[in-house]
Amino acid sequence: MWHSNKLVKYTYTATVSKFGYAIVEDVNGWKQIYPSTPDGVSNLFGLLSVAKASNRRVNVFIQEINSVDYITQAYLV
Amino acid sequence: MSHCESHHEHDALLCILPPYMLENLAEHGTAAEKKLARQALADASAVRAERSAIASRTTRSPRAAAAVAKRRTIYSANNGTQLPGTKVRGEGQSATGDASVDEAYDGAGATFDLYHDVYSRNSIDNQGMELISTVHYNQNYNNAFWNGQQMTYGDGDGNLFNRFTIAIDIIGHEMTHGVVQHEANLVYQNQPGALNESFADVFGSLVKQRSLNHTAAQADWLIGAGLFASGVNAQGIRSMKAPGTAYDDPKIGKDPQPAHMNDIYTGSGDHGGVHINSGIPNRAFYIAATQIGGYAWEKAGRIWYETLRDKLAANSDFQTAANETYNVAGALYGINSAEQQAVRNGWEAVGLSVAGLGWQTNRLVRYVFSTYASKSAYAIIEGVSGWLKVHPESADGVSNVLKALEIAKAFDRRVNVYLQNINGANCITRIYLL
Ligand SMILES: [Zn+2]
Repeated sequence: MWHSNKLVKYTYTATVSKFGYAIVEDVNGWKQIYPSTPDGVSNLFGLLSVAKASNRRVNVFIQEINSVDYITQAYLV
Repeated sequence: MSHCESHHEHDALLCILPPYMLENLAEHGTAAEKKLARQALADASAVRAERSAIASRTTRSPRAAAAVAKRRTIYSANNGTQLPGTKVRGEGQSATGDASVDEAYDGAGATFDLYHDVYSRNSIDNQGMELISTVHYNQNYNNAFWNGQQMTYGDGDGNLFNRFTIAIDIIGHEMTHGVVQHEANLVYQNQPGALNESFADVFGSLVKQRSLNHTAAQADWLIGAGLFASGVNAQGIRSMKAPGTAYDDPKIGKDPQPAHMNDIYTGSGDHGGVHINSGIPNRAFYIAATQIGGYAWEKAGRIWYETLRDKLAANSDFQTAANETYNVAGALYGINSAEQQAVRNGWEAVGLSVAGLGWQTNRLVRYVFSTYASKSAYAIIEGVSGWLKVHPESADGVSNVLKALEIAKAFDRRVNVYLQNINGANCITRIYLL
Protein backbone atom coordinates (compact mmCIF):
# COMPACT_ATOMS: atom_id res chain seq x y z
CA MET A 1 0.00 0.00 0.00
CA TRP A 2 1.02 3.61 -0.50
CA HIS A 3 2.21 5.73 2.42
CA SER A 4 2.01 9.32 1.20
CA ASN A 5 3.74 12.51 2.14
CA LYS A 6 6.10 10.93 4.67
CA LEU A 7 9.54 11.89 5.94
CA VAL A 8 12.42 9.41 5.70
CA LYS A 9 13.89 8.97 9.18
CA TYR A 10 17.03 6.94 8.39
CA THR A 11 18.63 5.06 5.55
CA TYR A 12 21.14 2.22 5.79
CA THR A 13 23.30 0.46 3.23
CA ALA A 14 26.42 -1.67 2.94
CA THR A 15 28.91 -2.76 0.33
CA VAL A 16 27.14 -6.06 -0.29
CA SER A 17 24.95 -6.18 -3.40
CA LYS A 18 21.26 -5.13 -3.44
CA PHE A 19 21.34 -4.00 0.18
CA GLY A 20 19.32 -0.94 1.19
CA TYR A 21 16.99 -0.13 4.11
CA ALA A 22 15.00 2.85 5.36
CA ILE A 23 12.78 3.90 8.21
CA VAL A 24 9.82 5.91 6.94
CA GLU A 25 7.58 8.05 9.08
CA ASP A 26 4.47 6.14 10.29
CA VAL A 27 5.79 2.85 8.90
CA ASN A 28 6.87 0.47 11.61
CA GLY A 29 10.58 -0.44 11.75
CA TRP A 30 13.31 -0.87 9.15
CA LYS A 31 12.01 -1.77 5.71
CA GLN A 32 14.27 -3.32 3.12
CA ILE A 33 14.29 -2.09 -0.45
CA TYR A 34 13.16 -5.14 -2.39
CA PRO A 35 16.45 -6.73 -3.59
CA SER A 36 15.38 -7.57 -7.11
CA THR A 37 18.00 -5.80 -9.24
CA PRO A 38 21.22 -3.99 -8.30
CA ASP A 39 20.45 -0.75 -10.14
CA GLY A 40 16.84 -0.73 -8.96
CA VAL A 41 17.93 -0.96 -5.32
CA SER A 42 20.51 1.77 -5.92
CA ASN A 43 17.94 4.06 -7.49
CA LEU A 44 15.49 3.67 -4.64
CA PHE A 45 18.22 3.96 -2.03
CA GLY A 46 19.45 7.19 -3.64
CA LEU A 47 15.96 8.67 -3.79
CA LEU A 48 15.23 7.87 -0.15
CA SER A 49 18.62 9.16 1.01
CA VAL A 50 18.23 12.46 -0.84
CA ALA A 51 14.78 12.85 0.71
CA LYS A 52 16.24 12.11 4.14
CA ALA A 53 19.12 14.54 3.84
CA SER A 54 17.04 17.39 2.40
CA ASN A 55 14.00 16.84 4.62
CA ARG A 56 11.82 16.28 1.53
CA ARG A 57 8.78 14.07 1.71
CA VAL A 58 8.13 10.84 -0.17
CA ASN A 59 5.31 8.60 -1.16
CA VAL A 60 6.47 5.01 -0.67
CA PHE A 61 4.79 1.79 -1.67
CA ILE A 62 5.16 -0.99 0.91
CA GLN A 63 4.48 -4.38 -0.58
CA GLU A 64 4.29 -7.73 1.15
CA ILE A 65 6.37 -10.34 -0.68
CA ASN A 66 6.65 -13.83 0.82
CA SER A 67 5.26 -12.47 4.11
CA VAL A 68 7.87 -9.68 4.36
CA ASP A 69 7.12 -5.99 3.83
CA TYR A 70 9.44 -4.38 1.30
CA ILE A 71 9.81 -0.93 -0.20
CA THR A 72 9.17 -1.40 -3.93
CA GLN A 73 8.36 2.09 -5.30
CA ALA A 74 8.83 5.69 -4.25
CA TYR A 75 8.06 9.25 -5.36
CA LEU A 76 10.13 12.20 -4.27
CA VAL A 77 7.45 14.84 -3.66
CA MET B 1 53.59 -26.96 46.68
CA SER B 2 55.20 -23.56 46.69
CA HIS B 3 53.97 -20.12 47.61
CA CYS B 4 53.67 -19.31 43.97
CA GLU B 5 52.34 -22.57 42.65
CA SER B 6 48.92 -23.07 44.13
CA HIS B 7 46.71 -24.80 41.60
CA HIS B 8 43.85 -22.47 42.40
CA GLU B 9 44.20 -19.20 40.58
CA HIS B 10 42.25 -17.35 43.26
CA ASP B 11 44.65 -18.50 45.99
CA ALA B 12 47.70 -17.52 44.04
CA LEU B 13 50.39 -15.30 45.40
CA LEU B 14 51.50 -13.16 42.53
CA CYS B 15 55.27 -13.64 42.63
CA ILE B 16 57.91 -11.86 40.60
CA LEU B 17 60.00 -15.02 40.15
CA PRO B 18 58.40 -17.95 38.39
CA PRO B 19 58.43 -21.34 40.10
CA TYR B 20 60.49 -22.98 37.34
CA MET B 21 63.48 -20.78 38.11
CA LEU B 22 63.49 -21.91 41.74
CA GLU B 23 62.97 -25.51 40.70
CA ASN B 24 66.04 -25.28 38.51
CA LEU B 25 67.96 -23.92 41.43
CA ALA B 26 66.75 -26.71 43.71
CA GLU B 27 68.12 -29.14 41.16
CA HIS B 28 71.33 -27.52 40.00
CA GLY B 29 72.54 -25.21 42.74
CA THR B 30 75.15 -25.79 45.40
CA ALA B 31 74.02 -27.55 48.55
CA ALA B 32 73.25 -24.22 50.22
CA GLU B 33 71.43 -22.89 47.18
CA LYS B 34 69.41 -26.06 46.86
CA LYS B 35 68.39 -25.78 50.47
CA LEU B 36 67.24 -22.18 50.05
CA ALA B 37 65.38 -22.92 46.85
CA ARG B 38 63.62 -25.88 48.45
CA GLN B 39 62.76 -23.71 51.40
CA ALA B 40 61.32 -21.06 49.09
CA LEU B 41 59.46 -23.78 47.25
CA ALA B 42 58.26 -25.40 50.46
CA ASP B 43 54.66 -24.98 51.34
CA ALA B 44 54.02 -21.88 53.40
CA SER B 45 50.37 -22.52 53.72
CA ALA B 46 49.89 -19.69 56.15
CA VAL B 47 50.66 -17.15 53.45
CA ARG B 48 48.54 -18.86 50.87
CA ALA B 49 45.69 -19.24 53.33
CA GLU B 50 45.83 -15.52 53.92
CA ARG B 51 45.68 -14.91 50.20
CA SER B 52 42.65 -17.22 50.01
CA ALA B 53 40.98 -15.31 52.77
CA ILE B 54 41.25 -12.06 50.85
CA ALA B 55 38.07 -11.93 48.90
CA SER B 56 38.60 -11.97 45.17
CA ARG B 57 37.50 -8.57 44.00
CA THR B 58 35.60 -8.50 40.78
CA THR B 59 34.31 -4.96 40.65
CA ARG B 60 36.14 -2.19 38.94
CA SER B 61 37.32 0.68 41.05
CA PRO B 62 34.65 3.33 41.50
CA ARG B 63 35.14 6.55 39.59
CA ALA B 64 33.95 8.80 42.40
CA ALA B 65 36.67 11.11 43.53
CA ALA B 66 38.38 10.29 46.80
CA ALA B 67 40.91 12.54 48.46
CA VAL B 68 44.29 12.08 46.81
CA ALA B 69 46.72 10.86 49.40
CA LYS B 70 50.00 9.04 49.08
CA ARG B 71 50.09 6.88 52.19
CA ARG B 72 53.06 4.57 52.31
CA THR B 73 53.76 2.33 55.24
CA ILE B 74 56.78 0.05 55.31
CA TYR B 75 56.97 -2.87 57.70
CA SER B 76 59.73 -5.33 58.46
CA ALA B 77 59.00 -9.00 58.90
CA ASN B 78 62.36 -9.14 60.71
CA ASN B 79 63.20 -12.25 58.67
CA GLY B 80 60.08 -14.00 59.88
CA THR B 81 56.92 -14.73 57.92
CA GLN B 82 54.29 -12.79 59.86
CA LEU B 83 52.64 -10.11 57.72
CA PRO B 84 52.75 -7.21 57.76
CA GLY B 85 55.32 -7.24 60.62
CA THR B 86 56.52 -4.25 62.58
CA LYS B 87 56.17 -0.73 61.20
CA VAL B 88 59.50 0.86 60.34
CA ARG B 89 58.64 3.88 58.19
CA GLY B 90 55.45 5.85 57.61
CA GLU B 91 54.51 8.48 55.05
CA GLY B 92 56.64 11.58 55.30
CA GLN B 93 59.13 10.05 57.71
CA SER B 94 62.78 10.38 56.85
CA ALA B 95 64.97 7.66 55.42
CA THR B 96 65.94 4.89 57.79
CA GLY B 97 69.31 3.95 56.29
CA ASP B 98 68.01 0.42 55.75
CA ALA B 99 68.24 0.08 51.95
CA SER B 100 65.31 -2.35 51.69
CA VAL B 101 63.03 -0.08 53.71
CA ASP B 102 63.99 3.05 51.82
CA GLU B 103 63.84 1.43 48.39
CA ALA B 104 60.40 0.01 49.15
CA TYR B 105 59.29 3.47 50.28
CA ASP B 106 60.73 5.30 47.28
CA GLY B 107 59.58 2.65 44.81
CA ALA B 108 56.04 2.75 46.15
CA GLY B 109 56.17 6.52 45.83
CA ALA B 110 57.42 6.41 42.24
CA THR B 111 54.69 3.91 41.33
CA PHE B 112 51.99 5.99 43.02
CA ASP B 113 53.29 9.04 41.15
CA LEU B 114 53.23 7.36 37.73
CA TYR B 115 49.63 6.28 38.22
CA HIS B 116 48.59 9.56 39.76
CA ASP B 117 50.51 12.15 37.77
CA VAL B 118 50.19 10.52 34.36
CA TYR B 119 46.95 8.53 34.53
CA SER B 120 45.10 10.47 37.29
CA ARG B 121 44.74 7.30 39.32
CA ASN B 122 44.47 7.65 43.07
CA SER B 123 46.55 4.71 44.35
CA ILE B 124 46.06 0.99 43.72
CA ASP B 125 42.27 1.06 44.16
CA ASN B 126 41.76 4.60 42.81
CA GLN B 127 40.41 5.42 46.25
CA GLY B 128 43.62 6.42 47.96
CA MET B 129 44.43 2.96 49.30
CA GLU B 130 47.29 2.79 51.79
CA LEU B 131 50.40 1.28 50.20
CA ILE B 132 51.66 -1.42 52.53
CA SER B 133 55.00 -3.07 51.94
CA THR B 134 56.86 -5.62 54.02
CA VAL B 135 60.61 -6.06 53.63
CA HIS B 136 62.99 -8.61 55.18
CA TYR B 137 60.43 -11.31 54.63
CA ASN B 138 61.68 -14.73 55.71
CA GLN B 139 65.37 -15.68 55.65
CA ASN B 140 67.36 -15.31 52.45
CA TYR B 141 64.01 -15.38 50.67
CA ASN B 142 64.33 -15.31 46.89
CA ASN B 143 61.10 -13.69 45.79
CA ALA B 144 58.67 -10.77 46.02
CA PHE B 145 54.91 -10.98 45.82
CA TRP B 146 51.55 -9.24 45.95
CA ASN B 147 49.13 -11.18 48.15
CA GLY B 148 45.97 -9.26 47.34
CA GLN B 149 46.56 -6.64 50.03
CA GLN B 150 50.22 -5.72 50.15
CA MET B 151 53.66 -6.03 48.63
CA THR B 152 56.25 -8.31 50.22
CA TYR B 153 59.97 -8.50 49.47
CA GLY B 154 62.61 -11.05 50.40
CA ASP B 155 66.24 -10.17 51.09
CA GLY B 156 67.54 -12.64 48.52
CA ASP B 157 70.23 -15.12 49.42
CA GLY B 158 73.04 -12.67 48.61
CA ASN B 159 74.66 -15.37 46.55
CA LEU B 160 72.48 -15.55 43.46
CA PHE B 161 69.93 -12.87 44.29
CA ASN B 162 70.27 -9.44 45.81
CA ARG B 163 67.45 -7.90 47.86
CA PHE B 164 64.22 -7.74 45.85
CA THR B 165 63.68 -4.02 46.41
CA ILE B 166 66.87 -3.28 44.48
CA ALA B 167 64.98 -3.10 41.18
CA ILE B 168 62.31 -0.39 41.17
CA ASP B 169 60.47 -2.13 38.32
CA ILE B 170 59.84 -5.09 40.65
CA ILE B 171 58.10 -2.71 43.05
CA GLY B 172 56.06 -1.24 40.19
CA HIS B 173 55.30 -4.77 39.04
CA GLU B 174 53.94 -5.91 42.39
CA MET B 175 51.84 -2.78 42.91
CA THR B 176 50.44 -3.12 39.41
CA HIS B 177 49.10 -6.55 40.35
CA GLY B 178 47.00 -4.59 42.83
CA VAL B 179 45.81 -2.21 40.10
CA VAL B 180 44.92 -5.16 37.86
CA GLN B 181 42.99 -6.73 40.74
CA HIS B 182 40.91 -3.56 41.09
CA GLU B 183 40.28 -3.17 37.34
CA ALA B 184 40.11 -6.05 34.83
CA ASN B 185 40.89 -8.53 37.65
CA LEU B 186 42.49 -10.87 35.12
CA VAL B 187 42.37 -14.49 36.28
CA TYR B 188 45.86 -15.71 37.17
CA GLN B 189 45.84 -18.60 34.73
CA ASN B 190 46.69 -19.15 31.05
CA GLN B 191 46.43 -16.13 28.72
CA PRO B 192 44.49 -13.88 31.14
CA GLY B 193 47.16 -14.66 33.75
CA ALA B 194 49.95 -13.93 31.28
CA LEU B 195 48.24 -10.60 30.54
CA ASN B 196 48.13 -9.94 34.28
CA GLU B 197 51.88 -10.60 34.42
CA SER B 198 52.47 -8.51 31.32
CA PHE B 199 50.59 -5.46 32.60
CA ALA B 200 52.65 -5.76 35.80
CA ASP B 201 55.86 -5.82 33.74
CA VAL B 202 54.71 -2.97 31.49
CA PHE B 203 53.93 -0.57 34.33
CA GLY B 204 56.86 -1.83 36.38
CA SER B 205 59.12 -0.94 33.48
CA LEU B 206 57.39 2.42 33.03
CA VAL B 207 57.98 3.25 36.71
CA LYS B 208 61.65 2.58 36.14
CA GLN B 209 61.81 4.47 32.83
CA ARG B 210 60.09 7.50 34.37
CA SER B 211 62.33 7.47 37.43
CA LEU B 212 65.37 7.43 35.12
CA ASN B 213 63.81 9.92 32.65
CA HIS B 214 64.46 7.41 29.86
CA THR B 215 62.73 7.55 26.49
CA ALA B 216 61.53 4.31 24.94
CA ALA B 217 64.72 4.25 22.87
CA GLN B 218 66.94 4.74 25.93
CA ALA B 219 65.23 2.20 28.17
CA ASP B 220 66.76 -1.25 28.72
CA TRP B 221 63.30 -2.95 28.73
CA LEU B 222 64.58 -5.44 31.30
CA ILE B 223 62.63 -6.52 34.35
CA GLY B 224 64.71 -7.01 37.47
CA ALA B 225 68.05 -5.70 36.23
CA GLY B 226 70.39 -5.64 39.21
CA LEU B 227 68.50 -8.35 41.03
CA PHE B 228 71.02 -11.06 40.24
CA ALA B 229 74.27 -11.14 42.13
CA SER B 230 77.48 -11.05 40.13
CA GLY B 231 78.52 -14.37 38.71
CA VAL B 232 75.03 -15.25 37.50
CA ASN B 233 74.70 -15.09 33.73
CA ALA B 234 71.59 -12.95 33.74
CA GLN B 235 70.70 -9.39 32.72
CA GLY B 236 67.44 -9.60 34.62
CA ILE B 237 64.48 -11.93 34.99
CA ARG B 238 62.71 -10.94 31.79
CA SER B 239 63.44 -8.94 28.66
CA MET B 240 60.47 -7.16 27.13
CA LYS B 241 62.58 -6.29 24.10
CA ALA B 242 63.87 -9.81 23.48
CA PRO B 243 61.86 -12.33 25.48
CA GLY B 244 63.82 -15.53 26.06
CA THR B 245 67.20 -13.82 26.34
CA ALA B 246 67.22 -12.45 29.89
CA TYR B 247 69.25 -15.26 31.45
CA ASP B 248 71.01 -18.48 30.62
CA ASP B 249 72.82 -19.92 33.59
CA PRO B 250 73.58 -23.46 34.77
CA LYS B 251 71.97 -22.79 38.14
CA ILE B 252 68.81 -20.93 37.22
CA GLY B 253 68.29 -22.37 33.74
CA LYS B 254 67.46 -20.52 30.54
CA ASP B 255 64.83 -17.84 30.10
CA PRO B 256 61.87 -19.74 28.55
CA GLN B 257 59.83 -16.76 27.36
CA PRO B 258 58.46 -16.87 23.80
CA ALA B 259 58.52 -13.73 21.67
CA HIS B 260 55.86 -14.91 19.22
CA MET B 261 52.52 -16.72 19.21
CA ASN B 262 54.16 -19.56 17.24
CA ASP B 263 56.12 -20.47 20.37
CA ILE B 264 53.39 -20.01 22.96
CA TYR B 265 53.69 -22.35 25.96
CA THR B 266 50.66 -24.59 26.35
CA GLY B 267 51.66 -26.66 29.38
CA SER B 268 50.14 -26.43 32.84
CA GLY B 269 53.20 -25.33 34.81
CA ASP B 270 53.44 -21.78 36.17
CA HIS B 271 49.63 -21.44 36.13
CA GLY B 272 49.60 -22.16 32.44
CA GLY B 273 52.74 -20.16 31.72
CA VAL B 274 51.78 -16.80 33.19
CA HIS B 275 55.46 -15.77 33.57
CA ILE B 276 56.36 -17.46 30.28
CA ASN B 277 53.76 -16.27 27.78
CA SER B 278 53.81 -12.73 29.18
CA GLY B 279 56.79 -12.35 26.83
CA ILE B 280 54.36 -12.12 23.91
CA PRO B 281 52.32 -9.09 25.04
CA ASN B 282 55.45 -7.61 26.63
CA ARG B 283 57.15 -7.51 23.25
CA ALA B 284 54.04 -6.11 21.57
CA PHE B 285 54.15 -3.24 24.06
CA TYR B 286 57.86 -2.71 23.56
CA ILE B 287 57.44 -2.47 19.79
CA ALA B 288 54.43 -0.16 20.01
CA ALA B 289 56.18 2.11 22.51
CA THR B 290 59.44 2.34 20.59
CA GLN B 291 57.64 3.00 17.30
CA ILE B 292 55.57 5.74 18.89
CA GLY B 293 58.76 7.16 20.36
CA GLY B 294 59.35 9.59 23.20
CA TYR B 295 58.50 8.63 26.76
CA ALA B 296 56.72 5.27 26.74
CA TRP B 297 54.46 6.13 29.68
CA GLU B 298 52.90 9.07 27.83
CA LYS B 299 51.17 7.40 24.88
CA ALA B 300 51.79 3.65 24.80
CA GLY B 301 51.36 3.54 28.58
CA ARG B 302 48.13 5.51 28.39
CA ILE B 303 46.75 3.18 25.72
CA TRP B 304 47.58 0.13 27.84
CA TYR B 305 46.30 1.77 31.03
CA GLU B 306 42.94 2.77 29.58
CA THR B 307 42.55 -0.67 28.05
CA LEU B 308 43.19 -2.29 31.42
CA ARG B 309 40.88 0.15 33.18
CA ASP B 310 37.94 0.11 30.77
CA LYS B 311 38.11 -2.67 28.22
CA LEU B 312 39.37 -5.94 29.64
CA ALA B 313 37.61 -8.47 31.83
CA ALA B 314 38.69 -11.40 33.99
CA ASN B 315 38.97 -13.87 31.11
CA SER B 316 40.33 -11.59 28.39
CA ASP B 317 42.93 -13.21 26.16
CA PHE B 318 45.77 -11.87 24.00
CA GLN B 319 43.55 -11.33 20.96
CA THR B 320 41.13 -9.26 23.03
CA ALA B 321 43.99 -7.21 24.42
CA ALA B 322 45.29 -6.68 20.88
CA ASN B 323 41.91 -5.55 19.56
CA GLU B 324 41.15 -3.34 22.53
CA THR B 325 44.52 -1.61 22.72
CA TYR B 326 44.15 -0.94 18.99
CA ASN B 327 40.68 0.52 19.45
CA VAL B 328 41.75 2.60 22.45
CA ALA B 329 44.69 3.93 20.44
CA GLY B 330 42.25 4.92 17.70
CA ALA B 331 39.95 6.64 20.16
CA LEU B 332 42.80 8.50 21.88
CA TYR B 333 44.97 9.44 18.91
CA GLY B 334 42.78 8.92 15.84
CA ILE B 335 41.88 6.02 13.60
CA ASN B 336 44.90 5.26 11.41
CA SER B 337 47.08 7.57 13.50
CA ALA B 338 50.77 6.74 13.82
CA GLU B 339 50.08 5.68 17.40
CA GLN B 340 47.36 3.25 16.34
CA GLN B 341 49.52 1.84 13.56
CA ALA B 342 52.34 1.31 16.06
CA VAL B 343 50.00 -0.69 18.28
CA ARG B 344 48.99 -2.83 15.33
CA ASN B 345 52.63 -3.32 14.35
CA GLY B 346 53.44 -4.41 17.89
CA TRP B 347 50.79 -7.11 17.93
CA GLU B 348 51.51 -8.22 14.37
CA ALA B 349 55.19 -8.67 15.22
CA VAL B 350 54.21 -11.26 17.84
CA GLY B 351 51.75 -13.00 15.52
CA LEU B 352 48.43 -11.37 16.38
CA SER B 353 46.49 -9.36 13.83
CA VAL B 354 44.11 -6.82 15.26
CA ALA B 355 40.54 -7.13 14.11
CA GLY B 356 37.46 -5.02 13.97
CA LEU B 357 37.46 -1.26 14.07
CA GLY B 358 33.73 -1.23 14.49
CA TRP B 359 31.22 1.58 14.41
CA GLN B 360 32.27 5.21 14.25
CA THR B 361 29.11 7.07 15.14
CA ASN B 362 27.67 10.50 14.45
CA ARG B 363 30.45 11.64 12.12
CA LEU B 364 30.57 14.26 9.41
CA VAL B 365 31.81 13.25 5.98
CA ARG B 366 34.75 15.52 5.10
CA TYR B 367 35.52 14.49 1.52
CA VAL B 368 34.33 11.95 -1.01
CA PHE B 369 36.36 10.72 -3.96
CA SER B 370 35.66 8.34 -6.81
CA THR B 371 37.15 7.47 -10.19
CA TYR B 372 35.97 6.01 -13.50
CA ALA B 373 37.15 2.58 -12.37
CA SER B 374 34.62 0.10 -11.11
CA LYS B 375 34.10 -0.10 -7.31
CA SER B 376 36.53 2.76 -6.72
CA ALA B 377 35.26 5.08 -4.00
CA TYR B 378 36.89 6.72 -0.99
CA ALA B 379 36.00 9.08 1.84
CA ILE B 380 37.47 10.97 4.75
CA ILE B 381 35.40 10.74 7.91
CA GLU B 382 35.59 13.08 10.87
CA GLY B 383 37.85 11.64 13.60
CA VAL B 384 39.45 9.09 11.28
CA SER B 385 42.90 9.78 9.85
CA GLY B 386 43.38 9.42 6.13
CA TRP B 387 41.31 8.14 3.24
CA LEU B 388 39.07 5.17 3.81
CA LYS B 389 38.24 2.90 0.92
CA VAL B 390 34.67 1.83 0.38
CA HIS B 391 35.04 -1.94 0.52
CA PRO B 392 34.89 -3.09 -3.14
CA GLU B 393 32.55 -5.94 -2.39
CA SER B 394 29.98 -5.41 -5.14
CA ALA B 395 29.53 -2.71 -7.79
CA ASP B 396 26.07 -1.63 -6.72
CA GLY B 397 26.94 -1.91 -3.00
CA VAL B 398 29.88 0.47 -3.47
CA SER B 399 27.58 2.85 -5.39
CA ASN B 400 25.03 2.78 -2.58
CA VAL B 401 27.57 3.50 0.13
CA LEU B 402 29.12 6.21 -2.03
CA LYS B 403 25.69 7.76 -2.55
CA ALA B 404 25.07 7.87 1.19
CA LEU B 405 28.49 9.49 1.67
CA GLU B 406 27.91 12.07 -1.08
CA ILE B 407 24.52 13.01 0.25
CA ALA B 408 25.79 13.29 3.81
CA LYS B 409 28.64 15.50 2.60
CA ALA B 410 26.48 17.72 0.41
CA PHE B 411 23.75 18.20 3.02
CA ASP B 412 26.04 18.34 6.09
CA ARG B 413 24.31 15.29 7.52
CA ARG B 414 25.97 12.91 9.94
CA VAL B 415 26.57 9.21 9.47
CA ASN B 416 27.42 6.08 11.40
CA VAL B 417 30.03 4.12 9.46
CA TYR B 418 31.29 0.62 10.15
CA LEU B 419 35.04 0.25 9.60
CA GLN B 420 36.72 -3.06 9.03
CA ASN B 421 40.34 -3.91 8.44
CA ILE B 422 40.30 -5.88 5.20
CA ASN B 423 43.61 -7.10 3.81
CA GLY B 424 45.49 -4.48 5.79
CA ALA B 425 43.35 -1.50 4.71
CA ASN B 426 40.66 0.17 6.78
CA CYS B 427 37.46 -0.01 4.76
CA ILE B 428 33.93 1.32 5.09
CA THR B 429 31.49 -1.57 4.82
CA ARG B 430 28.20 -0.17 6.18
CA ILE B 431 26.67 3.23 6.63
CA TYR B 432 23.66 4.81 8.26
CA LEU B 433 22.48 8.24 7.19
CA LEU B 434 21.35 10.00 10.35
ZN1 LIG C 1 53.88 -10.84 38.89
